Amino acid sequence: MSVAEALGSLIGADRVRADEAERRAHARDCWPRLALAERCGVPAPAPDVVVRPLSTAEVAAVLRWASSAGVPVTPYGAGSGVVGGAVSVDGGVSLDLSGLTGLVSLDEESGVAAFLAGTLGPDVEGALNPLGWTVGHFPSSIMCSTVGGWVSARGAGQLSTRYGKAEDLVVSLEAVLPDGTVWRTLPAPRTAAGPDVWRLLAGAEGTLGVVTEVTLRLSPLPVRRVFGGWLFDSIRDGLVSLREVMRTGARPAVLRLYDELDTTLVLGREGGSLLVTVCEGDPDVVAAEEAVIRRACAAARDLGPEPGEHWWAHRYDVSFNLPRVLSGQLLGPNGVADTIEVAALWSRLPHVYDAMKAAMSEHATVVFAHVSHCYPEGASIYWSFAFDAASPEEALARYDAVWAAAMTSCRDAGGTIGHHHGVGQARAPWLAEEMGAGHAILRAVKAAVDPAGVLNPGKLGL
Amino acid sequence: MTLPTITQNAAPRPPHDDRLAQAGLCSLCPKLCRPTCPVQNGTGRESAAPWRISDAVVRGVADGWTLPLAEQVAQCTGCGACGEPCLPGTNLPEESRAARAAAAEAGALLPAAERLRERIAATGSPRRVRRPARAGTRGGAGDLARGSGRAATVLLAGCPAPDEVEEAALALFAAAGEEVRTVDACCGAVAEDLGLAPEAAALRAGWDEAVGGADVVVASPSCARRLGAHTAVEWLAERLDRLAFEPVGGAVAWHAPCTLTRVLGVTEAPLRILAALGVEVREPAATGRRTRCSGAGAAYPLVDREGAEAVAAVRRAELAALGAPVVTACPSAARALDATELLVLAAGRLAR
Repeated sequence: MSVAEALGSLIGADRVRADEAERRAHARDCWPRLALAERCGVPAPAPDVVVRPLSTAEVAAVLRWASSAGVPVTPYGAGSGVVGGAVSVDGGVSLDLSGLTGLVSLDEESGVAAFLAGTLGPDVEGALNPLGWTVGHFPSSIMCSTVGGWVSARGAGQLSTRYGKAEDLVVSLEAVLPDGTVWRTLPAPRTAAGPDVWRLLAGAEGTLGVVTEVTLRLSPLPVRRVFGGWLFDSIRDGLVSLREVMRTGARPAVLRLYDELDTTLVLGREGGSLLVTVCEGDPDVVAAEEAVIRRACAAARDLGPEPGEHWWAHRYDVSFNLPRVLSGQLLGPNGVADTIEVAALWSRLPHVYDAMKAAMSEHATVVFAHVSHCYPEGASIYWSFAFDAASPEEALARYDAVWAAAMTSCRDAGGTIGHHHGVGQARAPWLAEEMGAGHAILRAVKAAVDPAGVLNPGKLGL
Repeated sequence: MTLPTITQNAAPRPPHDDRLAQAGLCSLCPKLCRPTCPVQNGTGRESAAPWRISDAVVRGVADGWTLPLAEQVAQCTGCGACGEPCLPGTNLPEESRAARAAAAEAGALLPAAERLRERIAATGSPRRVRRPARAGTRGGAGDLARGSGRAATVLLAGCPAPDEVEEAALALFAAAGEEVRTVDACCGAVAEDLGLAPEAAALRAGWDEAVGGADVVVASPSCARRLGAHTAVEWLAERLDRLAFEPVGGAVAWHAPCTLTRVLGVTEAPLRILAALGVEVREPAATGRRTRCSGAGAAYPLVDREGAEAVAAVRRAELAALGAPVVTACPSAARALDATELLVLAAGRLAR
């Protein structure tokens, strides 16, 4: 009996596809390296079959069978990942979770709502907004990313400084372990009843279990939203102000500080470092945050609301400029562009910034960054890079060189190599070193819960 | 409401003659088209997502067309919903049609296209039974021997339309006091949708010859798109002041056909007709220019009956929730949704 036949007997032949189109459609997520490799004649590895379960029970049946048969299973939400995490590197089964979709329950008294893992961002907000709620999780990929993917890759939305990252929004979840066990955690604001073992699934990228349902923390839709723009003499001056804002306890939805080159690209004129701010929520809280920002940015030039409004209107554009570069429309036919996000403590952040910029600039023509996703103790640096190459092979080699330079320079300067895009394959070579003994624990957990090693092989260095 | 607003800053559209580069844009874009696609949503097939179809276009152009690639690019109903969030401005219905033609030219012929090609070769028409030329006069419809064969207006019901749609349209013309005729010819839309470019061109040439310089009014939105012609609902809406209807009463659930509303931009005419018929119009959330596809467009049911049914089921469920009989203004959508065609409804309520 073939893999397709076996799975068809479990959940129905109509939800098992082995045709070339469907297998190819699940061969790639949005990791740019896959496209660059294809330019060099190396196609992305495709799964042998695509399975689309419609219930947790069916996910369990698939995983139970796969574990016993030793067939790899790679969870696939909507394919928006940018680090190759949803690629079936060893073939096997692509577990398409898009059939697990919709609002499961809403507890308005507690302000929590449960969604199936395959629910897309617009459907989450679409279900909640008419009732006055929002999750507040708005990644650039919101239109094509899923609840399960948010949690599994520990994503961050553009307003995360206020609403939190994906794992911060989780109240409880349901997941299926490789042996088919369905694990539901208790919804509670917090528990000290042992360690938060569920957190192993947040960031595990489907290597330990398949998230099938998530109960998310909600926030009331913002009543007021105000925008701001401030011009500092340098990015270092701006960093000081960001730190001051975060230490007050204020949590503006957006604190986005562009370096000098990025500022030039955004404002169209040279000089200075632009800070874009967005505060939203209860009017009294927004007013207080505005006051805090004004005080912390007293040394900067107040540009008024226009920069913030402009950012808000164009906040998804970068997602379109990347493919335009890669398709040869902005650079040459072998143009390359990608983004890399890292994070560091305030004390290390300038050093991490300088080290990464220097290292990446050895291989990329254009390198710029903005600082966002702020915390009281530090922030994320979000890099963009681009270059043109003479050939597809050179493009791929230089792409790998930029990534290696970025990862190693970040590590050496004391930053963490990833903030919210996940590990997948792109960061896997550097993960064990960053995690240290933690990676040995991860491997041990992997061996314990997935002894057959079938779940999402080749990711996280596992 | 904090949903992304992403359409207000559309980038300049790239040169359209570079299809490969245009389709290549989709391979790495953030796939905002994906949640809009009725075929992907209805069937759950990732290969039907617009960006994946673009990916297939790239493969077909670069590596050569195969039947699986041709079948993949044919998983598009031409509804155009994916165009709304697409900043690069990819016109997937157009890309898909061009790709089907390229695939067919390369020998990767869809089974449905093969069948249609055989039928056209045998009968000269995509229809199983050719529809004879007719004339509609103040006295009603008849064959050309009884009516005027030289009416300035030509009515095209469209190959997908059942005879009752043509009958209804002729009755409405008669009630409006206008002469009209039909011709035994086809615009070639279905052949074009299946990639049969030579047949589509030949049919279109035959149509042009049969019609001459006459005005054309078309019941099928797909045929109206193909011909760039006036739709029958537009024609009817412009004549409501000289037609009398017996009120229908009650409510109807209105399905706005994609090609009529999103592609051709005809949104108000059918609603004006429904108002004249005295019905309460109930519309689902996805309506007008943001309507949801019935799965019937671009000959998709001929290519993939199972997929088309899955798409239609989604829309039927949305319309059923409105608790009223479904009315639409597209013969193909009416069949897919078990709906009443608007022309038929209107003709049936003409005051005697």
